[in-house]
Amino acid sequence: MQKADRFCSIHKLPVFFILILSLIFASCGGESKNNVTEGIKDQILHMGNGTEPQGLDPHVVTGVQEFNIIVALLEGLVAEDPKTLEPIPGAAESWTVSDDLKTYVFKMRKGAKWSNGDPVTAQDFVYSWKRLISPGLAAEYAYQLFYLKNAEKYYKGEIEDFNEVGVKAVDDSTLEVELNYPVPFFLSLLSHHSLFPVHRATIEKFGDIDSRVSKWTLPGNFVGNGPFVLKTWELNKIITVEKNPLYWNADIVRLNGIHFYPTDNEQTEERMFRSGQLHLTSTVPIDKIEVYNEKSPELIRTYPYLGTYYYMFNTLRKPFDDPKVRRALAMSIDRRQIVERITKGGQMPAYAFTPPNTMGYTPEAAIPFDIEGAKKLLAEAGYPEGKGLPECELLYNTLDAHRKIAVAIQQMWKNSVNVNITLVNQDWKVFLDSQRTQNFLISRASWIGDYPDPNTFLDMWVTDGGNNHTGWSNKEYDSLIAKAAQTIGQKKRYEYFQRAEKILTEEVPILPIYTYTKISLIRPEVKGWYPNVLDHHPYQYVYLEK
Amino acid sequence: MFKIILNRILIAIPVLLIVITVTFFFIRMAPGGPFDTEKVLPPEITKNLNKYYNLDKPVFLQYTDYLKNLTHGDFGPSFRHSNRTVSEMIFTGLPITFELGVYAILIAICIGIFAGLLAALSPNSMQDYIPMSFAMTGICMPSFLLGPVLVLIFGIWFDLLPVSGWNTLPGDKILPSITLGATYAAYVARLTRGGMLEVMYQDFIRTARAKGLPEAMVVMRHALRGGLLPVVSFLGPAIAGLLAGSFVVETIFQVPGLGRFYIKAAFDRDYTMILGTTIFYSALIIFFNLFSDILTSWLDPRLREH
Amino acid sequence: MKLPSVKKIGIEKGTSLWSNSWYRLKKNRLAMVGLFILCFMVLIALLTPWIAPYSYEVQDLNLGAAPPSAEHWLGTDIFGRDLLTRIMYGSRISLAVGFLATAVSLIIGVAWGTISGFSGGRVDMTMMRIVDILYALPFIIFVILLMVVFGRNLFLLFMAIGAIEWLTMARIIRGQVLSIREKEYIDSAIMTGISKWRIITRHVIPNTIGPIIVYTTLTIPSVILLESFLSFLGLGIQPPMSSWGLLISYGVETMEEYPWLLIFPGVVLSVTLFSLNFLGDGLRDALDPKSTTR
Repeated sequence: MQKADRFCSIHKLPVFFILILSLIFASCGGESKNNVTEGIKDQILHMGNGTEPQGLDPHVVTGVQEFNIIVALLEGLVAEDPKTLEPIPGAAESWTVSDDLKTYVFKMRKGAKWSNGDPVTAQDFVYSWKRLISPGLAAEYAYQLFYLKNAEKYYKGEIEDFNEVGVKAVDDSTLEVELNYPVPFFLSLLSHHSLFPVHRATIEKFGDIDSRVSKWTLPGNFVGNGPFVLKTWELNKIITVEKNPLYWNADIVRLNGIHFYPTDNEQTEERMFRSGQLHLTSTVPIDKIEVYNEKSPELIRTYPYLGTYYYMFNTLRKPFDDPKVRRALAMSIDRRQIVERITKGGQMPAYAFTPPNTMGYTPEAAIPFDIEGAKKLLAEAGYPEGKGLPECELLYNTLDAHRKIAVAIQQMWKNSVNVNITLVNQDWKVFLDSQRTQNFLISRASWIGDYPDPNTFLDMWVTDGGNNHTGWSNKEYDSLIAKAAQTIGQKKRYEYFQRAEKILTEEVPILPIYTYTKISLIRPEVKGWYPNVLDHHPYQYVYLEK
Repeated sequence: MFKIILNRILIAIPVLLIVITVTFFFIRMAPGGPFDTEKVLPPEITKNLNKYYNLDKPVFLQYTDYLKNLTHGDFGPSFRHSNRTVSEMIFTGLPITFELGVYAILIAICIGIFAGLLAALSPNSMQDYIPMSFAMTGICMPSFLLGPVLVLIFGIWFDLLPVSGWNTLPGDKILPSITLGATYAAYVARLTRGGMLEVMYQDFIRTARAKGLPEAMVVMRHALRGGLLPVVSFLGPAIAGLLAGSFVVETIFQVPGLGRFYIKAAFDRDYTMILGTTIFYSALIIFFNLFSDILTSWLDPRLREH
Repeated sequence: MKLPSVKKIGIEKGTSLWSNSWYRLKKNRLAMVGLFILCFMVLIALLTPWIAPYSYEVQDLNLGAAPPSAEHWLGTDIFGRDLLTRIMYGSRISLAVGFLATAVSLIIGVAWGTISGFSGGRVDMTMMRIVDILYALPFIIFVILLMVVFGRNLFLLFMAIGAIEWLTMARIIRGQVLSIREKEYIDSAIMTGISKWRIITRHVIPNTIGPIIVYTTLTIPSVILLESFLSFLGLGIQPPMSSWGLLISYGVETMEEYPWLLIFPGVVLSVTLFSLNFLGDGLRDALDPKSTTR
């Protein structure tokens, strides 16, 4: 064997390899910089923003990620107080409400401009809302306007003339809105992105009023009336916005720009934060929460969020057609263990559906944690010691957090009431399909409130409600929710809700587990980022300071 | 040779058509539509949405419409990203994935063939065991494991390289390329070793040695050609498979490549995007399999004569 | 179980090749170590329900993830479940998937590749284009459909994995067969009028044994890891059951906080694969027909 000889010929290979590697290194040479410190210097906020947004058309998109960007680019009639979420003047300077609470008159702000210099007028809102309920656009959030007189009819094509819909521009600076019935949370609704204005000339330059597929939302095309304007958009990489000098309140805006990163992977996002690429993350991996809480509590922030994590039963199928079985299962899980040992993010155990302190409403009824009582209920239902109960499937969508909770609850039921559950996970779309076709026995679910009012939680469970996949129906409950909708006094309304909630905790079509919290990693230099239940943070009040 | 290539290109058309057809009907059979969200939409809104995207037509009609548009090179708009067309999205992601793939394949080929050769030239010695152990470790380290480990070591503990990004911070291409390349390098090393051992026993090598050629010449001129055959048949699909395989790496490192679009489109049921990326992907597979077949016949002269 | 056709040849030829190979394999110490470890792993997997120190599903949420200790030799996971037990149960799934799914892909791949390569011409063209098509179909959608049509079970998992892993095997075998087909001894075999079937089983497949074994040892790890992805899609196993692939992918998420959850499953998987690899190399050397004749 001539080893030496052999080596001479192959030794060229590693040389070649080193060459390649150095090429890669060279192609990205330069000085390293850190987004966090650079950002503080330049007042540029770098934030992780979940997934790549579907788009930036306020009438088409549906997600939270999209809202986070759109709210920088557009402003509705009313804006939100950054701390309390109370409606404050936005594109409208002021407003009046009629005595029957059905007519709102908005005075448009004088001198408010679009980012191309055009004035923001009442007609812009009429046009935008017309667009939202144009059947051709097929906006997912069109129903947000169905509170307006004749809006639903217009959407369904029952009336052709938009002038009959309850919104009109009396003149350039006066907008009159007429509702079907009093809607106590109507002003809060106005800060939802689907009711934001769009710039008519821009929409029509790139398509028709009802073009979903349109280029108007691309950088360079986008015209907005918000505190920032769209600067760049690289798919799956970054979206940047910069300060809009024409914004009516530009003086208070201290950030020069925001960089939004689509961070699909929470582990990656956390590493980006740790290495100084982000000021702010959209979430925190469960197992990192403890570490941050212990080692650097100043970097992690947790606050209540208007949402409930729950399981729902298919009440049309055995054995869950029996409320006793449902209630027994709901009574036999240790929610405190789940939030302390599994989710770890400061969530609150939920013993009723509506989160506590939703605009002053805290449910009085509660599902007790009572294993003995649960055993008794099961025996009454004909399954003493869990005997005779068929093995049931618990459905959840594929996500680590859901799996952990399901695994813990599976064991709890086995240990406490001897009920055996099989876990089944499905990918998101299959999961939604199974829910919709009621092809499940127990299914994981969650509900995030659309607006801060108990109604957004409780009106879900009316008979045949669109999101009520449980098949549960209760006449008394339906009538209580209907009554609440027509009641004006907040106290009286809440009484109806309390009674409805009581029925819900007795019948248990759904099994509330915990109330959500919003957890994020945030650099202490980020100021003006106030906790609130909707996790809304108007950027005009945010700034960076050492 | 030219005729064979032409033949293969012609046959690619029915192959593509079959792929399109099967995919088209498969994705419509899969439960869950592109516009299903957690909050169920009122039925009239769903109806309008289906109308907007022609989903209310009979499936077969949708299929012929799709093919018709395709002949004009129109892949349609993405169902999910309302302001982009499928071709725009493919062509933003493609160059990035391509660049990542090229680095990864270069790393895989250089390290893999070198390690495989070392091992094959003196089997069952330290020179064999050490590189092969590395290769096995590489195979046991899938990219979803190797990526985070590398980031932790180089990005966070030593703070040498960026933890994520592509073309934004200096050096951010290194870790993704190595992560993606490592598994392939391991495969190439194993296959090279196997292939070389196979060849080294054969008559013509003995003849070459008997002629008194130096061992290096024997390896380079004679053995390498035959020994690389399995590597080449593996590389064809492997290169094309980088597109799907790069998804994990692209997600870990926030690389805005095509792999993420390809996988996410399937999960989002973004019908047009699934079809667009699948067509593209099959074209790549057809091309690289053809390429590897040509390379095979070049490496194995006996095949060329026939 | 791995190479049925080869075994057949051995029997046809009498005992000499077969016993010869076994003799040579025995002399390869590394291969024997590999074989021993593998047998040990399989034995443990089979006996797990009787010898596991704890239950794989009973939790102790108050304990949570604890590092290795006298009670729990390899520590516990975030639910306070014993990691050693979970690795043992995981080996049942992973070894079964690894061997069975690989066997499925091996049988299809070798048969497909050999027939395609040996027949040549139009048959070859058609068969290889079918491979191209199967490569190109979106895998996720395919898996989701499988699940919807057939429901979930382990058998389906083997089929799904086998169905994709055989493609590359078929391509590699075909490449080898093409080159073997041109050899003189095949020509002479054809001229003597031996049936095609006999030529394939007696001459062609034995000569592709090297790449088959090498690629098999490569397929097993990727199959074991693929299982965790399919479980993620809902096709594979469901918690609280575990597999090596799943343990590793969960371990990655918490590798900084609870490193033992990654290290131990990773070590077990690596040891298994190393043994497999040594055994594979030994088998390759031992079974090589070229070295038999000389």
